[in-house]
Amino acid sequence: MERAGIPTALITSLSSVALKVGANRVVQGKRFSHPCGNPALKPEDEKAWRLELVRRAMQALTTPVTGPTLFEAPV
Amino acid sequence: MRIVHYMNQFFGGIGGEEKADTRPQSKAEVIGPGRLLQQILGRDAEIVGTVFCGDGLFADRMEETAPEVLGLIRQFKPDVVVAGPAFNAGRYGLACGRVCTDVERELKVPAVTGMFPENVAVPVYGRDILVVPTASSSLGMKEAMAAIARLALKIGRAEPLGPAAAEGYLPRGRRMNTRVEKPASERALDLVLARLAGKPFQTEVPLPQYEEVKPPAPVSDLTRVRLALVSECGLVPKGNPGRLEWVRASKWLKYSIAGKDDLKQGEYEVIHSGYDAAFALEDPDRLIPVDAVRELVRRGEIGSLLDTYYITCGNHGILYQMAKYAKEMAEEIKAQDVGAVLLVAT
Repeated sequence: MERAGIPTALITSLSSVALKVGANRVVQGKRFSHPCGNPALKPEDEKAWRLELVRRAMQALTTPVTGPTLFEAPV
Repeated sequence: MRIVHYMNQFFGGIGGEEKADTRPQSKAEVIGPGRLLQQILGRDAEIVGTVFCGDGLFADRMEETAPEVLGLIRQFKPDVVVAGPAFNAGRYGLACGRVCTDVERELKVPAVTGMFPENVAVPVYGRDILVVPTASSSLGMKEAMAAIARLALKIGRAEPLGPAAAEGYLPRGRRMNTRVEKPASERALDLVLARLAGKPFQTEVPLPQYEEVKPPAPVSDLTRVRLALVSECGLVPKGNPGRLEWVRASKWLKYSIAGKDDLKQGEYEVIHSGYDAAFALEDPDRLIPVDAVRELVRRGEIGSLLDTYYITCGNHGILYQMAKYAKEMAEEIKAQDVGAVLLVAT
């Protein structure tokens, strides 16, 4: 995607791998089986958490980076 | 053993760059570097014909020229086809690569060529065909032909080929079974000892090389951007209509999310055997966050969402294949006025 010139945010739980193989905008996801889910929370809280996670991804997309960079997950 | 030799207009004795448009031709003769090849092959094999074509023509009009060349080769009923060697000549390398690919695929006849390892044709064809590493110029003709001849005889006799390093061809990225004297633990210790002693050593498992991609400039105005959702998590509509494979996926797919405010439980399934999908099936937005993106679009924080998501299964994904799928997806996504991608990886 990025080689084609499209800024890309990658949400993954395996952020160390993503950074190592050269993904430039990496957002820390929850677990490998549900990167955008937080099933420990109540449904409304999980929705709010996911909104925040996607906001982090949007923040990554609007941030200038020079190489692999990690954006932390919301708490 | 009948051998057909493919070469360009230069080695075919027609001329140099000014003759690069030479049409495909054949002669029932041994020509140019073919003489050296025949000499090395000795009595075990006979070059029954030579096919040649201008490099310029072949490269510029490959789709029409390649079948013509193949037709000429076929007429000689070869047991083995030798192409080149092309050394570091790019267009000649591409021609040799295509000829070998077509010969093996269409004629079911084994083929071998030779190229400088950095020839542009190596990344294009090197995974599919047998390429002997050569010097960058024809000064290395003798060594190249010796290696080509040895492999030509071997594949002509349908003898099994050993690993690239032992047989003297460029690695094709394939793994093969073999018997070795020492168990893995001893070999690993040998490697450590060699390394500690500063002696040369060779890993048995070369790690994949990841290319560095320069990060594109950030999105300047999120409120006007169109975002696309992409994932390798294997989430597909119930029933898996596109028949995505759960391992080593041979394809990527796309599905509409037009009019969907979120991804509903029961409407999707996960084709991916690399993780437990129970949490994702409860709410597929835990994989592809359609609900959250829609909400941010409603709030005016994101311009719009592309009404299609792009999906494959990354389980046991082969690096170069995944890179190919991504390239194809990116071309399509880019053509739809998308300015940013949200990619989810499981």
